[in-house]
Amino acid sequence: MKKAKAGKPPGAGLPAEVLALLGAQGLDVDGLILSAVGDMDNEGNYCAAWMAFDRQGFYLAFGEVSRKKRKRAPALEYRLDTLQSIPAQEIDELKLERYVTTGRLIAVQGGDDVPLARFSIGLCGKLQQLCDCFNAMRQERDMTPFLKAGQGSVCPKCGDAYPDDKKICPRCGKSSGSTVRRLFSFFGGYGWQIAVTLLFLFLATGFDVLLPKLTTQTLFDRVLYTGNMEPVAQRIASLGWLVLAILGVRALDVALKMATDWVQVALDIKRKIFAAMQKLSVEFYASKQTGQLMERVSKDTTNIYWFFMDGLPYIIVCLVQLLGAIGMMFSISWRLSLLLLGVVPILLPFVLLSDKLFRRLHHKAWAKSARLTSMVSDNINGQRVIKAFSQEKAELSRFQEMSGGLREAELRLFRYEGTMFPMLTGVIAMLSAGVLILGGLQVLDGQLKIGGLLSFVIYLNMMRTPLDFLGSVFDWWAEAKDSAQRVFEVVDAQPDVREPEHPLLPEEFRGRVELRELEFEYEPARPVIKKVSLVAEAGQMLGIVGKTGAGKTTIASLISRLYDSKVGAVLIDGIDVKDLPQSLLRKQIGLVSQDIYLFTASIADNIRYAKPDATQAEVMAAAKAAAAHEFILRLPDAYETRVGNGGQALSGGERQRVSIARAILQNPKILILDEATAAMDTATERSIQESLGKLKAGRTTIAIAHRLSTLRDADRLAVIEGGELTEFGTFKELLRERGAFYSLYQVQQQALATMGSIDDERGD
Amino acid sequence: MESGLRMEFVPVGACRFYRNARGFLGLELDGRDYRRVSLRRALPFTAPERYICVADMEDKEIAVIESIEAFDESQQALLREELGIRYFYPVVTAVKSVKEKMGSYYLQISVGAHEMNIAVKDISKNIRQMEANRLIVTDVDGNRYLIPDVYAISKKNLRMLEPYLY
Repeated sequence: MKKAKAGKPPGAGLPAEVLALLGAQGLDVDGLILSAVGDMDNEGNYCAAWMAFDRQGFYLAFGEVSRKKRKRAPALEYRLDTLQSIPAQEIDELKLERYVTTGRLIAVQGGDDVPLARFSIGLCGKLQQLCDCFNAMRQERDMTPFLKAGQGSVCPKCGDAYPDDKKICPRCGKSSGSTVRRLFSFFGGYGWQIAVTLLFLFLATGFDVLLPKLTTQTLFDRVLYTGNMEPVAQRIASLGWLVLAILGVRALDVALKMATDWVQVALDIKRKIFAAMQKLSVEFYASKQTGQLMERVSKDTTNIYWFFMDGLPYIIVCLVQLLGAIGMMFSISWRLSLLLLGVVPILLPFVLLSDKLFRRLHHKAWAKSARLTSMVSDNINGQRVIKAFSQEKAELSRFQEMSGGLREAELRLFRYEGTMFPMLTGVIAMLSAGVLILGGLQVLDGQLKIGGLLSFVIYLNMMRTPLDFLGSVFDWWAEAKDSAQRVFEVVDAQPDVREPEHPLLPEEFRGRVELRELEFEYEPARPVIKKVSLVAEAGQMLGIVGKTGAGKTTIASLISRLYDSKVGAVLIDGIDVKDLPQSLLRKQIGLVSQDIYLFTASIADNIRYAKPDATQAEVMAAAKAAAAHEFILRLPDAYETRVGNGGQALSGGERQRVSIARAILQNPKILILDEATAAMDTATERSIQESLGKLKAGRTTIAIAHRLSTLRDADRLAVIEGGELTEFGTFKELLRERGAFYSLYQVQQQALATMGSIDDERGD
Repeated sequence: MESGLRMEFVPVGACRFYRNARGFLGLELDGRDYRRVSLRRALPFTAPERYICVADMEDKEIAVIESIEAFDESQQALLREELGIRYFYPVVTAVKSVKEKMGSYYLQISVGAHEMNIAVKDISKNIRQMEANRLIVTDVDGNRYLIPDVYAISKKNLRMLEPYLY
């Protein structure tokens, strides 16, 4: 097996048993190039579907894998039912179709679609790779990119290949190290601090446990005991010594507790997670909802934080307290202690059962309350819409319905709690009473002194808190582990867009942008960009036109490498963007995107975002070039107006102008304007264009728009339709072609003409 | 108040669906032969047999069917079969066990006669209770499973799922 790892696995990675079965059918399994395993036949029945191909043909075998349960390792049994071979040259292309929860593998034969097999949608990625590789073979293209991707590393535990680069096995839900061990590795740098802290805690708690014995038993039974025959002076002296000892222990206790510094360690965890999130690529953020990410960062780290801040030290405290108290109780009266411990096994199942019940009730109430919270947040965020359609009443009744559900769940919880807790308290009271009776009898018997009994009761009460806590700490631990698992997923996630291993560092950028046979898909089998090739020469303005959803914004994202394409390349001055360090690349590219984000800060700081050391004068000049200066000065606080969350609300056009100013100040070699002026009136757009024109010298501008007036200065225009480049040339050339661009131009001209005539009428 | 909005549906008599030689659905409409068409439900859960959109393979809409029931029986069967393929949902008939390990949940389920083990992460997102007590479970690979009515499965099964319902 070891030899196989270095090169291509024999039989393209199919299990040896399957290869044997296929070999028995006369198939040359050593020549197989790539394989994949499906889970359904062509009719949609679950079964095993082994697919593979070599240069001669495509092979599709249906069969069954059954799990034989043995005592040790479960063994798998393979059965082959049918084997279908299609000569490779008869297949023009393999493709996938995606349905709702399934997909279908289709061979295009002589222009006709031929269904081969269905599969669960989760297999799309692997099968797409098979299709890509097969198609590459048919078109005599390089197959290595598809072969390499298939040999991802394998989970050490279950042997399944990791689905992506995140190195987390979905089956085992584990990365290559145990969560617990990793959790504790956060303490790595703080070894001695932790050791000292734990020692202090241990000692402080030990003293806590010691105190009742000193203050009660020793005081009453030795010093103040009326039967003591020592002279009064000596008794006073020993009283003094005892008080001193008590004070000393207390002082030590307080000093130790003050010296405990735990905060630093816990803060470090939060920092590590935030740092990990910054390096992830856009794809990660797009695939998880923002809310979820926020929850991960804040809630999960808080969970872990509090467990380490509070939980872990408290576990030590509780354990010391509990064991200390038990030890002390035995030292005072082993008979009473034994009796007490005898009761525990009787109570235990009762406690466990109620615990389970309460957890269920709590969860239900919690889930209802979570739903109510999300409804309220929906309501607050959607106030404008609610008011606009005057749906306040409907919202209110929805709220009432949901809060009614919550009330019911909570009432049930309270009712149970109302009966359960008094019962528990009653049981404990009975225990105390039992101790008093038995202890009292022992005191009367002379076996136990009054101070001993008193401190015994104190220790009994001391046990309650740690017992309660240790009962719940397992939940807490489970929750922290659960959070840690999610947090590590963020920390471990490998950015999809990675730094090149051997980055190229050109001294100067000229700004020539070239797309070479660029292809891209966000999810397998759904290409968004199909083989687009075009060039924007340095200093030129390239306009990209196309309908909504044609893939224009995706092109912009690919140029600035927010995503990486698997096929084709984006070249800047002839260098693949994947070979440039990201920081260098992004400095050369200014992206003004459709959705603008303004941070919670002043307008000046927002403009200065890409160049924090810019002077106020520079900021103002940039704002002026972006036609933002005037409206900013109209605001009462001008450049110091706070925007973003909870700040001054800016209109869509104003926000766009701020973000353009931001990009102008950055002074990039390549400026990408993605519908950057769509929310502005034509006059403002015009003035921005003019100032951009002045700044354009030596700058490549890529402007994406559907309003053609935006692009009238463009040196070249590209028309994108359904992810494909359909027309490319100068304004005049495209008009002459009379294609899609021409008809778009006609439509917009007519619209302008109509508007013009309306203006004329007004003018009269 | 009349809103003036009207949805256009294709007349039943105008279209004839058929299976082509490769087993895909084709359509003859207004004298045109679409050799492969795909069907889309507008309301896949609440009205699976009404408002069916027919599109060609470039995803361009050809027609909208108001109701399958208006067709004759053989056409109905053809449409239902085709919809069954596209909208196939593995229906969970029993939940054998739910185990939690390190933040992942392992469900042993039955889909009809077929038994399978699935792994689910991010419970709050991937075990989703929709309206009408419908439950959709998404496993780590992105496969989706349906429990049409979570309160219609056995009490024992429900108990097991209850802690994960949000």
